[in-house]
Amino acid sequence: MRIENIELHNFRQYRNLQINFTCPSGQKDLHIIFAKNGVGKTNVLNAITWCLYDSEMHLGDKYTASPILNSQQVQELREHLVDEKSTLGDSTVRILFSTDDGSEKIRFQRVGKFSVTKEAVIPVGTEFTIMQFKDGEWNSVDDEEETLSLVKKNVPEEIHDYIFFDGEHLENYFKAGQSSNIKNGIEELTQANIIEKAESAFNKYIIEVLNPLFENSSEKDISSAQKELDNIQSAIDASIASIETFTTQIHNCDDEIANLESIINGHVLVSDKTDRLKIVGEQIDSLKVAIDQKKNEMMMFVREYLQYFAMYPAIRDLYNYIQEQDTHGKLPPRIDKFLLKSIEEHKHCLVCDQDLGEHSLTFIEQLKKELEVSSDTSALLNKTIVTLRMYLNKISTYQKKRDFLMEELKDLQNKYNGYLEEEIQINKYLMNIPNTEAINKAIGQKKEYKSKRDEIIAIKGVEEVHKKTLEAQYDGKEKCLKFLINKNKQFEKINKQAIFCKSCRNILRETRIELLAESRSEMEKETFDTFTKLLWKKDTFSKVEILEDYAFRLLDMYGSQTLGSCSAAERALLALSFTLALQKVSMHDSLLFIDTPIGRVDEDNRLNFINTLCEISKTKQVILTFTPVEYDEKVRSALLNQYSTFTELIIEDGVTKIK
Amino acid sequence: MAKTALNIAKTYNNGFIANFENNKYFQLNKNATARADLYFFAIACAMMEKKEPTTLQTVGSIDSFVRIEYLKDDCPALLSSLYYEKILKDEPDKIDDICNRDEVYELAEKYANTGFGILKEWSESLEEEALFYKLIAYMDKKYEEIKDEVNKYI
Repeated sequence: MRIENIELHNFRQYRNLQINFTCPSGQKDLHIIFAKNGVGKTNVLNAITWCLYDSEMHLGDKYTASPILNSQQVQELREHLVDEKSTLGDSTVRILFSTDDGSEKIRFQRVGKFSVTKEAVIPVGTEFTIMQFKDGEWNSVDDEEETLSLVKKNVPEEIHDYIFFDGEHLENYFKAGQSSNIKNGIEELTQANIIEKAESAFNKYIIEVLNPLFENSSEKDISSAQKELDNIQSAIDASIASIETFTTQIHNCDDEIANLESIINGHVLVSDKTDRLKIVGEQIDSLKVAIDQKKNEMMMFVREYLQYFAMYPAIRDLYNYIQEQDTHGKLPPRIDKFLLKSIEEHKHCLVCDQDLGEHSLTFIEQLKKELEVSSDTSALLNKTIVTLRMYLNKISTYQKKRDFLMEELKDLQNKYNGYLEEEIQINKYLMNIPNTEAINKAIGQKKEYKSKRDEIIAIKGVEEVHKKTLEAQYDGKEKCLKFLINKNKQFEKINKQAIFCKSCRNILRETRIELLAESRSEMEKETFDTFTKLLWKKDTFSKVEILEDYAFRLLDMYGSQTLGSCSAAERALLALSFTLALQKVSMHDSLLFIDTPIGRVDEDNRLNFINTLCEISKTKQVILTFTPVEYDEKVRSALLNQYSTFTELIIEDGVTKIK
Repeated sequence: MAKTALNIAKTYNNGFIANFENNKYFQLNKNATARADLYFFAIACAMMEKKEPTTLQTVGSIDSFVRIEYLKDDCPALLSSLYYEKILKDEPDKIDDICNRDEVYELAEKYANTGFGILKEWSESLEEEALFYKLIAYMDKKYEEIKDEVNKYI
């Protein structure tokens, strides 16, 4: 299907405007809508979704948006409000769709009714009508069910995301946590949801009708066995739901890790380097303190030893003098008077531990006398020589102590210089990294996600074991119930129904799972083929994977997820490829309407992306909107002679018109 | 009355020595170096530079700097050596004068204040590191000269 034209009457800034998308034969079905910001490009998209689904799906904020009814129309209606309290106004959007060969046409029209008072514009309701052109004549479709079915057939609401795009969000289609987009798309277009509904209907009948018949039976064995079976089934269902949640959580973690890796890419050492920088900084500070302390120690050493060296001649000469006096017996012996007194009192030698005789006591008496008469000078000199010897000893050890201190200082300074050099190198490394803070944050978050992922995997493993145990219990209990039922003839009919319903449910379930698996696999192949065909950078990617929980993977040549590290243009192209694949696999060939398609695409890839869209327009209708900033000289040249229609919108007196 | 303190020229005490508390020059501030140690360091400076001591009165009014009772046990030996070297060496008969501590302290004051004059000059003209290496160089040279002689005493 393609759009022939759109008519807008009193819809937001549009009073009466028709945009045609005619495509002369042999031309590409490519159409450009060009306008400055605020003129109403996105409101064309809103008009389409409002007309088809009664909802403006591309509004900035629906709660603060002005009413749909054109403000000039509101003003005019208010001017004619004389005695009446309110009057009615309406907004209309008409869209004419046609098949590619033009043989069938279908016109969707929605009229919004508004009650206009002096103070407010109140929506009253909308009328939706469809006209169908078939076999040369227009017929109105009155039946509501048929109307809905025509919308569903041609532009199903569930997949409007895959027809009417907001280019600003295109690159986010496959970001973490967005798998619901893919799930909805695949389930809707493969019609797996219809099978699921039938499967649910059987299941509901089994649970709500048949099982209670067994549960409420007067046969206690059967009743309790059925109840137990129901309980086990509930536990199995809960376990399956948990496992599915864990799987999704694991895939979400994988996606987040891949995104973070794209930020970290090539800068894995940043975190280590930043930590190291901190340690090095601390070492530098503590070494500064240690060096200062060592220098102080050395200054004290110098200050002390200078006395010995500067006064060495004086020390030496006095030492020599005292020694000479001592040698010639001119100084009294170095004997402790108090020790002698104590020995005398005890009459026992405290040195050799022997009792003293008369002769010894007399000798001590004489010694004591000698000491009493010795001069103060002798005592002072005796005391001094001990200190002088200590000074001489110190001088003799000067070289050793000096070298030791100098070596220690040198060692500290070498360490300090080493750390300073390391600090310079780390800072140089970190200066070349564009956003160290973001990378550090990403490294930290990646660690957290990895550990979270490991935890979930462990819990999932436990849950899987639990599920297996429950299933074994279920099998055993089911056999037991079957045996009891078979024995009892009154349940024969119900049992047959139960067997039939369970069998139908299981077949439907298996069919649905198989269909989805097949569709997923087909989608993987088709998306990847389309992507690589359209992609300007060849040999970069190896495979697309859509996992069972619809997590999306784009693998590189080494089998690693690369979605997070793709450029915005590549991600947008992947979204387009997925859409095209989805439309192809489901045989639901829709147009593509992309609002500001290159808004998020970097300058280098803009032309690549435009060329890709031109390529797509060979096989299907593509409508693109541009702002003057996006539609620069290069884009203009690339699109020259490629499009069928070019519509420039301008705003005059608050009303959007075609220039 | 016996001397109770070793004195210093007021001009030094209130001048560059007071400044040591702020500039911590060569760690000669009170917290790092006891006053007695600074006093003996000044004597060593005078001896090192071989400057003849001036009488204390020539440097103006004085302050007491170190109380005698706070001198460490080994300090009297150093002062006795100085006194012996400068006064008694050529007149050994007067050895008993070494017990006249007032005279010993007065001689020490002269040398110390001469040393303070030198220290003042250094603190104004030499960076700490330069002074450090100047003193190390002096001691290295001295050590080379005397090490054999000293070893005989050990």
